[in-house]
Amino acid sequence: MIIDRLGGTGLKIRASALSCLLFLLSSFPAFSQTAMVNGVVRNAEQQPVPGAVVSIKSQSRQVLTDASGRFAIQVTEPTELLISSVSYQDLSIRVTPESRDLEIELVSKTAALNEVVVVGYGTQRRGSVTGALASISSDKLRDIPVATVGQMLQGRLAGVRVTQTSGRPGQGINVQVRGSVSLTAGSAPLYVVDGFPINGDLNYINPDEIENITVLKDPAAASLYGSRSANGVVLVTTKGGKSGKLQMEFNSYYGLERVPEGRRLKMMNAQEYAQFQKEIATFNGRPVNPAFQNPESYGAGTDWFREVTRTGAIQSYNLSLSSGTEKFQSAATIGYFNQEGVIVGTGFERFSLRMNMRYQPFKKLKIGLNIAPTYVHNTNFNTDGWPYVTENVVSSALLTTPLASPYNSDGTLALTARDPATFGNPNWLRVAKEKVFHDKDFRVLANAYVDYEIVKGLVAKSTFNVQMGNQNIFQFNPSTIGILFIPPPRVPFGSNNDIRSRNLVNENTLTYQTRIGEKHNFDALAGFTVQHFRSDGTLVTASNYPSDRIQAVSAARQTLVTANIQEWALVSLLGRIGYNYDNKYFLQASLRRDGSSRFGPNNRWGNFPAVSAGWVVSNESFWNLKAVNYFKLRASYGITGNFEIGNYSHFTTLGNVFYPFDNAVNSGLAPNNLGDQNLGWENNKQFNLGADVNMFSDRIRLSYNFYTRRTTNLLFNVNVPLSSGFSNIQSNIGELKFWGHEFNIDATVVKKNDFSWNSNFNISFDRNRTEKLATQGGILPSGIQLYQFRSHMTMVGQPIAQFFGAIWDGVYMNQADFDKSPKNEASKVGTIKFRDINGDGKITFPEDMTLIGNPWPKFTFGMSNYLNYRNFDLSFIIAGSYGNDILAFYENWTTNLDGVFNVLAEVKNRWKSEAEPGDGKYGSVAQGTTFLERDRWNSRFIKDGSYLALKNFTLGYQFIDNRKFNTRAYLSVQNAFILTRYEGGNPEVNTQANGTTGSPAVGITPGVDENSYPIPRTITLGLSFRLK
Amino acid sequence: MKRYIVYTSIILTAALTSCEKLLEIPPETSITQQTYFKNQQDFEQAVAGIYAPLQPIYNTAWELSELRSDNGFFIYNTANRGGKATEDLATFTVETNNLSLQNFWQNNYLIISRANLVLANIDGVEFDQASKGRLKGQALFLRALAYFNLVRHFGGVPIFTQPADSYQGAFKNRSTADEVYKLIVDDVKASIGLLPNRSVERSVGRVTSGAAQTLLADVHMTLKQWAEAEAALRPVLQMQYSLVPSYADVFRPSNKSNAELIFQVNYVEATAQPQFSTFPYSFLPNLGNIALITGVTPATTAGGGFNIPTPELLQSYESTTLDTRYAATIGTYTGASPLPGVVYSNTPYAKKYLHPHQVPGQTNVNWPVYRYAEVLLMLAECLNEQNKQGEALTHLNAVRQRAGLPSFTGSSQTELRAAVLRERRVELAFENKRWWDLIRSGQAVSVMTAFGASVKANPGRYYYAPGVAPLPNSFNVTNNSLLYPIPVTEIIINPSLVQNPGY
Repeated sequence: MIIDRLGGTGLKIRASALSCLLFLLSSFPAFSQTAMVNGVVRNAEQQPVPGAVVSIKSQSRQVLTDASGRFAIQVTEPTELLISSVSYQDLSIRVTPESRDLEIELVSKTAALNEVVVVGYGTQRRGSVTGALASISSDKLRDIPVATVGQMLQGRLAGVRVTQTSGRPGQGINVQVRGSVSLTAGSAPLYVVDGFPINGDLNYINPDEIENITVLKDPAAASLYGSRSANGVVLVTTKGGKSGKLQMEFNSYYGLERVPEGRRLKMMNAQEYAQFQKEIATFNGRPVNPAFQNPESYGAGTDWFREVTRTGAIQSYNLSLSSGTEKFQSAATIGYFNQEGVIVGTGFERFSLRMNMRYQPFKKLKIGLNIAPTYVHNTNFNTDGWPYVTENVVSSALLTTPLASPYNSDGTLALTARDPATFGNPNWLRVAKEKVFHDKDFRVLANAYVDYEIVKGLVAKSTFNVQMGNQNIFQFNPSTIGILFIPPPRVPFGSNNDIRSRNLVNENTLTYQTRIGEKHNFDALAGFTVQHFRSDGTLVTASNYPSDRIQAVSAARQTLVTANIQEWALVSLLGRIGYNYDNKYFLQASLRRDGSSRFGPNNRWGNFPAVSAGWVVSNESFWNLKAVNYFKLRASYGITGNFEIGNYSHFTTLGNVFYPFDNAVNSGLAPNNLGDQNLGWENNKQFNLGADVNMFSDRIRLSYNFYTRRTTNLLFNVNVPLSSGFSNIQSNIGELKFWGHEFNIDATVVKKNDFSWNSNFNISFDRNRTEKLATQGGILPSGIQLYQFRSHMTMVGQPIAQFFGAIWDGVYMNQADFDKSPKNEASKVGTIKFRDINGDGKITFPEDMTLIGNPWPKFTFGMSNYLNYRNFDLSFIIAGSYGNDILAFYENWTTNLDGVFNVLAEVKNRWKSEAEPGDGKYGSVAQGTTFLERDRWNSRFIKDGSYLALKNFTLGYQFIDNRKFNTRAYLSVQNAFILTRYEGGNPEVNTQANGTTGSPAVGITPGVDENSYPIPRTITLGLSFRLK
Repeated sequence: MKRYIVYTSIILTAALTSCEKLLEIPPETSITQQTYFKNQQDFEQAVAGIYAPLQPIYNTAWELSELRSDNGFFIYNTANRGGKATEDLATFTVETNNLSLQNFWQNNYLIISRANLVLANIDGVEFDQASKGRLKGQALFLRALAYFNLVRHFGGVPIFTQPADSYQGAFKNRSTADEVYKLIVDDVKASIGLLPNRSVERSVGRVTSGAAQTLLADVHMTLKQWAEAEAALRPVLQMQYSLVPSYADVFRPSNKSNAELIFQVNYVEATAQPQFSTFPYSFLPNLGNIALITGVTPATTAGGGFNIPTPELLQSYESTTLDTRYAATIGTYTGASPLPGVVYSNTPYAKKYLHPHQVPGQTNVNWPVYRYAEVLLMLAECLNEQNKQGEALTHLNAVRQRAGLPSFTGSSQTELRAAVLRERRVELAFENKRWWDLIRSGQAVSVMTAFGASVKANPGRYYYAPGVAPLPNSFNVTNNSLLYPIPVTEIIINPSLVQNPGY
């Protein structure tokens, strides 16, 4: 996090306001006259800058500022004043002879190195950082009309890959630090808010409350978080109060969002569909149903995707107040956010409040209290994933016959959508409208701390943190809705899930800082922390309601109660020492010792050490490369941990099962978890080598990191033969290697008085490889199970979890082709052709399956640009990914050749006869053969997922900006456009990521598209007012 | 400064020691195995747990036996091909990834692992010997039943007699079928002496010594050990079992404790924990409003269209009027179908298990695993094979008489063999016996090849819609077809497991 960035915002705003005023004045017909222009030059701390040179560019006239920073210079016509001073960056401003009492603020040349950066358990000057971290401040996050903070980070930070895997309002954001891949449940980083390691992610935090975000990437930065640091750590600092008068800010925006036309799958229209059905019947020698006899009699029919989507409204209002004295500072933010989903029935709203208070009764003692209650409500019923289990409306709607209408002839909603060839489906518009889904979550995040300086340099700090959650998810399926193959009427059913959670953290630290002599600087940290988490869930599943009228679970004739209790505790010791010699040589060592309830007594404690060093080469006397004003080399090595193994894995447990004797349910017990007594910590030994280079007085700042990470004792819930009576066991089974390169460039491209252009570009190359696997056969299948075959495979020497299946070789174009090619028992001329990998002349599974695609990108990149011209500002953010494959599993149902669903329009080009073999992608519709191309993993599902997206584009204008008041309006476009060859809607998709209802999968399942909530394009108009 | 460090270290060390306690967090919705087995009640619960997988096994076991035989077929659904894997069982196009096979495999092994856990721990806890014996007897019987299911369907399978306790301990290679049969016979024999008979054990669905005797006989008959089978069956005649006067009453949910049932799998309806059966619905034709057949409202779309009686089965009834079993077993439906191209016209369905119930889709009918009529027919078969046709006829005719048929009068071994087989086919229709009867009698390949030819020649007669027919590669019945493939997922996880020939 950077509190004071290059080019200091304070200056920018003031200087531009001033120049605007001057410009207006100077545009009057010029009265040529001579006058003394006077002013004062100060630095960022408001200290006067004496001895600064004030000159007029066009002339050779110059003066020096006096001891109080004051100057006066003769000006004869509108001109540019240039102010320069040794340790500050040059500044030029426009003046006229009428200008008086100028207030000029200079920015220190070394400001970039003096920025204060938040690190684990403290802060550091950027110049002394020896680890790899990436940070962003709130001014770079404003204006982006999205629900969650995570979304704002897309394309912004090197080594941090943020993907929007689904467009579900308020959900679907996946954050991955350094290509981190966990084979277990979580690859999400640890989120720490104001020093508090929270449970869950940042969805509950109003983005307007955030001051800055730092991502800790390497062990030097992260390993103080020990057993939770392997996937990186995201530190969030919220806005605090500042001494000074009351500041008030109101930010709001309102906009509309809809699914871009180019990002929809092209399904058959009614005429094409009827033709398709007619051809299937004819091809298979079945009578053609009269409904399909004359396809040309139909028009476009119903576009079910269009029926269930809409234009949604998005709005956000935030009021922030900040005020303070020397002894007491407070800040409050109150916010409301509401997003209507583009799918009918979905939406997200958030009420939030945060109050941060700091009290300093006397110099040595600081007491703080932050409290942030949030209420989040969404109506996002099941939308994503395959169509076969729940209502998953996106995939299901695509499949529905275009011959059916959502409306009856009298305009009421129809009950079902059917035609003579298909089984009959629910009316999806009705499903979207009548499905009842409420997820209401009330959370409070609170921190309190006491900070006491015992003697000079020695500070003791205790924090008490509480996170309380109270969530209720209520669902009701009325009799009028159904799912694929189960059309209404159905017996109504519902559920009510109450989850209470509590996360308590106490942290106690001592820090000591001292300087011995002129050049030896020491700092040390020692700490002791305790964390305890517990959640109690009670799920009532209600079925067999007598009617739709009363929806409360008490009205159901059958209810089933399930309890879910999750509890864990973590006790830790931590320490860090740092040394620097003359700001040239830096050394740091740290250690965390974690004891976790998630491991058995034999392996309860784990140690997570790290060492790092930095050398500021440019501070050496031999350094004489003027262009490079700062050059630092960094190296670090350490161990980070992963404790995402579930809470009770090491126990062999028995759970309740039921069997009736004498017509009464009898409660029995049976083993439900096979515990590994020797389950131990997963270790991640990571090495980082980095360099920071600042050039041309910090105009260009480069940062580079190379890292390698070796994961040993890999934790995985590995499958065991079902004959053991179990299906899996959590075990330490292997070794993985990760490595990569990250580049980040920040540049001040143009910096003039009335025009500035700042730019960031970052690119990350992340790689992984499986080194060892202790499983039987040395392989590790994972992913979606399609007819018992898994979609992903991990093998030694290969990247983790690649796609696994048969290789698609087109279709058997003709009899000759068929005769000479290997085939499956069900193959015929015109059906899909696979490669005979084992060379036995037959196509069988899994013998002819192999690695068919890689879900990991070769590189990901981002670019952001901020331009200011007078009162206008313009920013745009680009993000992209190259070289990753996507498993377009949705083609399983959207290209079904049996005629049971509507299909992609391109299915028209399938094999129809030897004379009309089509484009070789889709085989014939011969009965009993089509499952081969649909129900076996094969490379036809594999697509290139590379893309370049203009994530955000914002144009703003400041109407008023004076010493007391500022008002600005802006137009912002989110997801403006995307360049990609991927046809499936969203190239960032993964329907197996967080919070969606994909098909049942085991273990790691990256890059799968089973149809997801579309990503809307959002256009908003924003307005902000600020009282200073 | 130093003082602070010393004090701090002392405080931290003390705090840390007390925090070790904080890290002991056992699960609350389960119980850890180390702390569990303490007394008789704990074992009662663990034994009840062994029974639980019987419900999923017998709810779908018909897919692997009755549907595979010439008794049951299916109505091809062109609008939903989700049933393909189940149809494959009937058309002899089974693939190694068939989910029904995997579920059957897994649930039988769940019984085995749960029984192993009880048997491994029960002798370490002191309590009443009789109660302990009764519990051990149930565990042994259920383990034997599960291995019998496995060996009949898959041949020699991995043998576990101890609970798996680690990753490596979960891997075992296949034993031979003989080794599996030996374990089964040992287990059942051991259980017989421990289990109470019907007059003592009045709880419906509990294992009794009668059930164990019948299972032992079934195992011996499968191995064609007729004398041993006869010896196992004899005591059952003395256990107060009898034929219920009306055939239809045997299966009524209201009559679950009747004297004919020897071992049944229990289901109940309308309980909080779902414990109902669904197989009666699998046997119904697909209907937009299934209440038209079931009479149970509200109207819902349901019906599986499986185990549809074949024309061959219908013909094997000597009389559709005299034989009360016909009306009790076969229903017909005429009317529209939601399936494209299908019209129901006197379309038969198995209605034997369809009885009034409260909630659509949830039935409370039990699955009959062994019943007294079968014991009589088993005994008739064993006696006939040992050339004791006289007594064999008595048992056969007892069953025929209850059905309303005249006594069988043939007397040669061949005639009687055919008569018992035919009697078993109709008496035990849709009780998952026919496929094993065909295998035992050595007719499986010939009968099913002929059946397949008949289906291919006239698909419409076997409920295919116009223009739809079984694939050319279907009904390729060979001796390899007598065993199913080992589920492919087991082989993917444990590559040293050898697949059955032909798959």
